[in-house]
Amino acid sequence: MSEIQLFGIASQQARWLGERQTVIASNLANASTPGYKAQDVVPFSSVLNGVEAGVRVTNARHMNVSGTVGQGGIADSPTATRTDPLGKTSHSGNSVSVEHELVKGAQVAGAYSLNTNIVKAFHRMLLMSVRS
Amino acid sequence: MIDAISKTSLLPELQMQPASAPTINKSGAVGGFDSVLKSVAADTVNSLYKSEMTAVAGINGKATVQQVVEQVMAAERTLQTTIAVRDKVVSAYQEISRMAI
Amino acid sequence: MIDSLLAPGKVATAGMRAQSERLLVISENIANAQSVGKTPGADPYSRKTVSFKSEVDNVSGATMVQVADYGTDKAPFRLELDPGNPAADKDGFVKMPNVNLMVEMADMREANRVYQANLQVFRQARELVSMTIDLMRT
Repeated sequence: MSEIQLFGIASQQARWLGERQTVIASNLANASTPGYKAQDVVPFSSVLNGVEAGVRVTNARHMNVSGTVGQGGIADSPTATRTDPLGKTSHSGNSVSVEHELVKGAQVAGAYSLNTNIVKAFHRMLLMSVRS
Repeated sequence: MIDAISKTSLLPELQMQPASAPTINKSGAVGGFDSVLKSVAADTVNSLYKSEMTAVAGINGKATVQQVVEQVMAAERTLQTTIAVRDKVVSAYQEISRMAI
Repeated sequence: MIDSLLAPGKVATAGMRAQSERLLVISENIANAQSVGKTPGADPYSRKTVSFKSEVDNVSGATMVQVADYGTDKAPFRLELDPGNPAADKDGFVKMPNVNLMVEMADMREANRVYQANLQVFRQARELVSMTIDLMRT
């Protein structure tokens, strides 16, 4: 795998991690909402394999317009989410486990740190190699 | 995502170019290096423009933080490459012009 | 457009606000745990409740939370024998608020826990943004 593909994949992973963080935040914000079921994003491997090519939405309002950045339009489709199968349901119908969500959050932070450091290192190496 | 990959595809392009034998075109300049420099310069201008647009959009809240950062870094890579290519081309040209005929 | 780095901060803020509302209601209940009526046979303080609902934010597309409704607990008031009290009825019984301090304290601890968790998410989101912007630094 060449380093040029690396930037693309790192970009995808960074975005996936950000969306996972958002879902974790939603779960914790709704930790005492009756009937709320904990969500999680699909695994990154299926994003890479292009399995989630179509946008599966859990809520119609999740579908958003393609953002236009500068000249090129960068279509922005959210990662599909699904109900976290590990969640245990309380008698009010809420299946959020605070500890579980916080552990996931820590995982996301760790993975994101690795991602940014890898990108930083390869960026620096590329610049150095060009300068000779 | 494709954008991020194509932005950094500059290097493979350069590797393919030197294989063609340089030709003398109408202006008298060497054809192979000329077109290389032109395409590299065009890519850089494009990349810099895109990064500026993204930065402005980022300030306006229209682009994500990630997009802005990626665009800026890609522009930096392209710019560095262009400068390096330009320097090499200029020094090569000077060497050629110094050659005794 | 979804900015997946800024969205968690917004969601966590909504979560913190929701738990703060809950804590406000709980502290009101605790403060009024002994508040009886003024006239004989009058109703005392009624325990207040708050319920939440999840709401999808139009701007970011993320699922947030907000207060759905404030309500009152319909549980019956317990009676206490206190003939000297101005709120005592003809039998000398006073209607006491339907607030159970044990329940309120447990509720308060839970609200605090969830608030702290949301705060943690907020801090982490800020950290991720900082890491991203740091990439551009040489």
